[in-house]
Amino acid sequence: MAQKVDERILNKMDKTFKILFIKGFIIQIIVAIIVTGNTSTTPLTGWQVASVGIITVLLLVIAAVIYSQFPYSVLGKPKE
Amino acid sequence: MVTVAGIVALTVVLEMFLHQIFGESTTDSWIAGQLFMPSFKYSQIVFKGIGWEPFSDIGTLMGAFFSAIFLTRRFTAFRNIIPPSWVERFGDNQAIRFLGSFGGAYLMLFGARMAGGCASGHILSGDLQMSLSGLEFTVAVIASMLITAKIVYNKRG
Repeated sequence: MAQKVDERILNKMDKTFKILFIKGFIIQIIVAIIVTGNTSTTPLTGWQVASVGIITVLLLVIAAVIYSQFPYSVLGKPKE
Repeated sequence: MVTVAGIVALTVVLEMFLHQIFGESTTDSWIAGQLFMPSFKYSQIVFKGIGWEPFSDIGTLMGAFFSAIFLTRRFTAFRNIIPPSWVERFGDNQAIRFLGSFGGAYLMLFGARMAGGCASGHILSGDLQMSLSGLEFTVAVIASMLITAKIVYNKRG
């Protein structure tokens, strides 16, 4: 599968995901600030953690789809 | 490496100022309690005492994720890859690798919960507070780590 995908497309997908990752991380911090509010000493609830953690899960799923197109072993440096 | 150590140290100190501990393994008890045993007595204790540990875990995962994508570029996209050091010692059987990694992780987590915290809680937070129990835990962990590595990987010299 990896050989069928053009290198330029791979690089584009790589760059796109990196931008997505940064944006996702910023959104994650904003969501954490909003859902926790001024409650640094209050125990966290399930929905507070889930609303932040779901962003990581989504990023992992997207990354798995994108990087499974890349050559095996080391990204950008195919295993000899 | 120095930068990473600096960030970790700053995070731990910041969490102390914000009346939080830098812990990780409590999250596992918290998740198990939330999903499967909400009325269990121990779960209730964990629910009341939980601080930022779940966010610490998410942050650790995001840090590893960042490193795999931006720095080492070794994100494997969940492929079945067995580390070369393991292959050299135990072969490339996936079932054995699964038992080794799952069993090792289980023992580590079991020990952490028995001790009331893991390396991040006892070593990072405990040692920064000059806690005697934290220092004792650090010595025990390093000794156990060296002995286990010697037995598992059988390296000599």
